[in-house]
Amino acid sequence: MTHTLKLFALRAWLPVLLVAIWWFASRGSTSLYFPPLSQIMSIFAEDWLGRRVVSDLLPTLGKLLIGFGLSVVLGILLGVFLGLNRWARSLVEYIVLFFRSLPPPVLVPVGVVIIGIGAAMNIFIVVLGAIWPTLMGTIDGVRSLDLVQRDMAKSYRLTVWQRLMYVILPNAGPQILAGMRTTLQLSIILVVVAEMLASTNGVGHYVLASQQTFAVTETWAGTLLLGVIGYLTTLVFVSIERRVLRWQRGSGQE
Amino acid sequence: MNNTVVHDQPIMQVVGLQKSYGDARVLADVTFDVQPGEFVCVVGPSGSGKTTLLRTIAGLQPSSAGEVIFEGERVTEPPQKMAVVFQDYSRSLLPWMSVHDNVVLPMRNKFGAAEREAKAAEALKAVGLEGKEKLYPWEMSGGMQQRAAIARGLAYEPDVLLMDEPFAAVDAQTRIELEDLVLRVRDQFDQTVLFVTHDIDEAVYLADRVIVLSGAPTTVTEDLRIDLPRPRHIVDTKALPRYAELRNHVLTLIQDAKSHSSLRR
Amino acid sequence: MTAVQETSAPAGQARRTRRGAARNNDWLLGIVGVIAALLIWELAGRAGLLSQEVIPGPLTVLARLGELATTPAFWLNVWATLQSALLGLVTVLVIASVLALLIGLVPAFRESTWFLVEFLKPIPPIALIPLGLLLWGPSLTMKLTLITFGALWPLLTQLVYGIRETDKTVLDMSKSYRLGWWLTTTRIIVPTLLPYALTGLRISASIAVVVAVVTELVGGARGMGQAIAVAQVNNNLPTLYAYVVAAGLLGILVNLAFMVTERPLLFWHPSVRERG
Repeated sequence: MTHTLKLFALRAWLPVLLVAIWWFASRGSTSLYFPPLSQIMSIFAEDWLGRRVVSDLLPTLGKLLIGFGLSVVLGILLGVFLGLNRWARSLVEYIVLFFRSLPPPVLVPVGVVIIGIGAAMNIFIVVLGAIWPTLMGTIDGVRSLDLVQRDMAKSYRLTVWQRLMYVILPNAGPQILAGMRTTLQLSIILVVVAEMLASTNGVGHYVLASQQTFAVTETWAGTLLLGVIGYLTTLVFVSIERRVLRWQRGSGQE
Repeated sequence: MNNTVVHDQPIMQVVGLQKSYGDARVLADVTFDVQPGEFVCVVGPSGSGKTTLLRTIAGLQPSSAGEVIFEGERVTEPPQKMAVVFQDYSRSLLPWMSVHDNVVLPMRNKFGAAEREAKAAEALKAVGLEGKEKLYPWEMSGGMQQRAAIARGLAYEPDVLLMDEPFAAVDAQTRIELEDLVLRVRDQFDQTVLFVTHDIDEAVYLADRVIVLSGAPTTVTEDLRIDLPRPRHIVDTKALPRYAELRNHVLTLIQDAKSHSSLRR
Repeated sequence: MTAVQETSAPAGQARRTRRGAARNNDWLLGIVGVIAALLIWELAGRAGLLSQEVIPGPLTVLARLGELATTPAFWLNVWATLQSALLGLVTVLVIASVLALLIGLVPAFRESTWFLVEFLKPIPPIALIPLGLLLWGPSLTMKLTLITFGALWPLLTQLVYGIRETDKTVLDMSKSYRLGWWLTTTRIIVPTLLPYALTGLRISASIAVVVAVVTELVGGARGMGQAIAVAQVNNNLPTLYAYVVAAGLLGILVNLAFMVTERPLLFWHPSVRERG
């Protein structure tokens, strides 16, 4: 108990100190670029706990969730297919290499040209840019199947579906999850960039618009919100990942 | 059957060694010595702190009480004239170096370049790895990797070679080969060896003396002279009635130690 | 035992050649795939399935890329992106090395910075673009700051992981043979950390390129991203797609550069060994 308390104190003092310094150093600041932290917080509360939740925050989160979900589902499906099928894999190898080497944000202007501005385009961009880590993770995971496990599945004449659900996917789990984590990070980046360049609402749109109109306090508040979104989504993902992997270890993986 | 041995000039003395981790007492009181040229096996039930004992002797970790005297000096850090062959050969050999470079590496602080090459070649030949110098550890079987680790220990020319369950991870066939290999190079290099194992047959077959440990918290149950003739032979020696007698004696001690420690728990 | 010695090498060789043959076929198949995709793209455009107004055919795009490649402006743009990414990476390398040593070796430092690192790590670097634009405008300083912030974490995480995973048996070995700090550092610590450092650096490099491109796209800093944004605004589609293709090729080159470095440095590491 005292040990936990000590650890907490050890971990907390620096962040607390930094926030305190920020708070007091910026108090009464008249600088155009560094508004008082108190003012940033009150704008934050006003916008992001109030009037902009429905108009901007929820659309952003919705696009993020749909884009990420589609990337994961499509990435795993395609990845299983390509992982099991050497011919198909070789055939698309360089095409996939090109797309996953492409810095994904350059797809945003392409999306604007093809679909125009709006939520559908934002989601399209997220999928096109963020699917690759999950796809590659799934392919690698499927291919890493142990020869003995493969022979076991064959010799017991498991059906394709059984093989997939009980042997192939659980074995590929850790690699799929590692890919999904990168996909999540890319999804956030892409949603925000897409909103900055090609949306009329959303957190990304809000932050960039506030910067362009020199609404400095709003820019700070929006930046803070993006940080919080990035932090919280990762937190949620990690806790789910841990649960899934624990289940897997429990089922006799190791 | 308590043939405690009296000596005049031990090369190493372990005196009242104790080690605890927090509340857990691992070594209660371990005392024994090693004479120059002797092959001493330390055998004990699993969980008897064999690795802790060896690491303390090797100067890799401090003791809680008691001391290790090596060549008249108290061991506080790894002595220059001691070498360790670790149980986990796959990790103690460096994968980014060839077998030759692995063997040469420790000698860099000890011998000149020409001498290093000569000693490495001699040691590798002795363990039967002649012509394999350029291979990397991961290109070889487990048995060959442990040979390389033994060659590294021999080439370093320690006054005492410590071996920590070196054959625990190889298959039975390889194990027999490596046991005979160790006996052979020990004669060839006139090497003093302190060999830790949980395998009673291995201990009795190899040793001049067997130190039998109790379960944790560990003490020395018996210091037993192995009066089997040398050279030992895998079939003939193990066929001797005396071998069976010694082996059963150690086995009984270990079984007792096990039931004692389980009773205590 | 002789059996083991004699079979191990030829078996390895046989496996290598068999795999090598398969690799040759795969390679051809991959090229076939690329050509087929380009062909379908071109034909779909000609058949009117893809509007030329939206997606010009590959011949047009590649021709434009060829044209652009003869202009200095194109290469200046490529260099502007690459330069900021490289400078950012160097900065990251320095900062991450120092921080990783402190975090890996000083427990008080590790615990004190734990929350800060865990909080800053998942923040998307592009969140800071508006703030960066506000403070520094579309300048190299702004780019470098954001690239450094975004690309720091993968390398830092990997290095800390590497320091923590440094094998206890290996360190025991080095102590018991009295290798001393120089041999321990050069023969053990550096080779141990190298795979982690290269993995981290590779991820950091791709993030650095991504952040560089975004600062150019959104912030209008000079580089390929800016050229793409301008082409889109002017509805100059062949140029837009030509730059996108160029960006993909740049990404492939960066990956290739890492593969070429990894092979000789990490020939002993399982990940490279398996690649054959």
